[in-house]
Amino acid sequence: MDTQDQNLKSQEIKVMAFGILAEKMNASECSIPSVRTVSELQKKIEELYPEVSRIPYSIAVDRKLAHADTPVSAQNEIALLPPFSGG
Amino acid sequence: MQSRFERQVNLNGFGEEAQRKLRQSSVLVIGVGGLGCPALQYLSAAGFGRVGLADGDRVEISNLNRQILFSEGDLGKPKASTASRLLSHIHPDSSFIAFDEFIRTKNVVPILSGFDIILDGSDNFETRYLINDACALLGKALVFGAVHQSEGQISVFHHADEKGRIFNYRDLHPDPPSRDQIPNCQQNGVLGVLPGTLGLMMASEAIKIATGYGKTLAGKMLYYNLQQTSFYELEIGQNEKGRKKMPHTIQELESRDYNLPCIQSKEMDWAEVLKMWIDKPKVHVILDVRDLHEKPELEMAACIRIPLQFLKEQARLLASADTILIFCQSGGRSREAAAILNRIFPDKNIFSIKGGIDAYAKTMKIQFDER
Repeated sequence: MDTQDQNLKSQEIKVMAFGILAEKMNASECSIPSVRTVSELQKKIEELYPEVSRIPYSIAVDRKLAHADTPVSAQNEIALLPPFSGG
Repeated sequence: MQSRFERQVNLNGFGEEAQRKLRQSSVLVIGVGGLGCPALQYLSAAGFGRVGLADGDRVEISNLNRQILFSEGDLGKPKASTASRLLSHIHPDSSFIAFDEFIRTKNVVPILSGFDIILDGSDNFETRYLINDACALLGKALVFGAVHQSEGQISVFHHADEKGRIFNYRDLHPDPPSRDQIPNCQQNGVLGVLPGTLGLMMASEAIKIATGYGKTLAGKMLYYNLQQTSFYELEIGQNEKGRKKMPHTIQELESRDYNLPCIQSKEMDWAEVLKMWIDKPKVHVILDVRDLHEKPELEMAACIRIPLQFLKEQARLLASADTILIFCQSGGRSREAAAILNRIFPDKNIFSIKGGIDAYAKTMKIQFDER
């Protein structure tokens, strides 16, 4: 891997998926290319996993509920949190 | 003097004062299912003075891997009163109040008002939003638990966190998903230990709320993944978008359409239908939900045919009946129709007839042969 590849790799953002989203994405974790905000992140995820866009979910940055304009970087831990209903 | 509570009274920081508070507190468990059953066992054993159970469902064989208050002898019996009988036998010092009914907009306020703490172990989004909104308006602490496959989540709402802030399920998820987004009431697979674990955590939160012992999950949602053995703790923040969706008054709550689903339809077989028909012919309507061309026809007075696809729009034709008995060809569509009509007419007795018209032919043959 050359330096440029390593740089790109280091800018990737790790995203954890919970519940029905992990099922739809067929993975409980994925990496997405660098973005600046939560709304950009959401757009990117829905491009890569179109079936996710049908499901309502919240996004957490570093284990705190985030808003559309919350900044994100490769250092942050991102989670996609759909609601659960089973009892 | 030794008592059944000695070991918790002896716990540092708990003591007699906390035990007295438990005795004076009441808790309502909504959904006597995978979450509700284990929660109920430990809430009762801990010494809550009054324990309520609400569920309109009946025991089925597939419940028994996780709904551990029931046995095969209970199949077909109403869950709430059946569990209540067992618990009052084991814990004679507590009083138990069973509601063999689903929580709906009409009964949510009177039922919840009688209890200090509410545990939501229901199995669909619409009921969960109704309970959340009712607890907000009534100022009741809500212990929320839910599962999906091998994951579970738990939180405490409408109860102050360490900084005095109060959060709400709608802060995390402002609106219920529509049924085509996340289907409800699927017959999802589940290992009994998952709702078991979550149910006991819910009971722990209720005990802490009642006694002030320790720190609750208020302001946080805890996720547990059984398959990975991992936990994730989320800090919830206020969400104005979600708060705007709340009803402002009890009247508004009671008149809102929460679109409650999955009321398990009651079933009846033809022998029971015929007996009912002979006893009280005037109050019943027999409803055929097959398409107009489907044969054979049922030669019975007061049999109405409304194909399933037109049922919602033509439901007013059934407004005057007390009891509606529904059949189709083999018993599938009639269950669906019963669920639709239960939502439109929550106060009527609505039954799906087992086995449809196919079973009718068999029943009539048996009755004929017996003569």
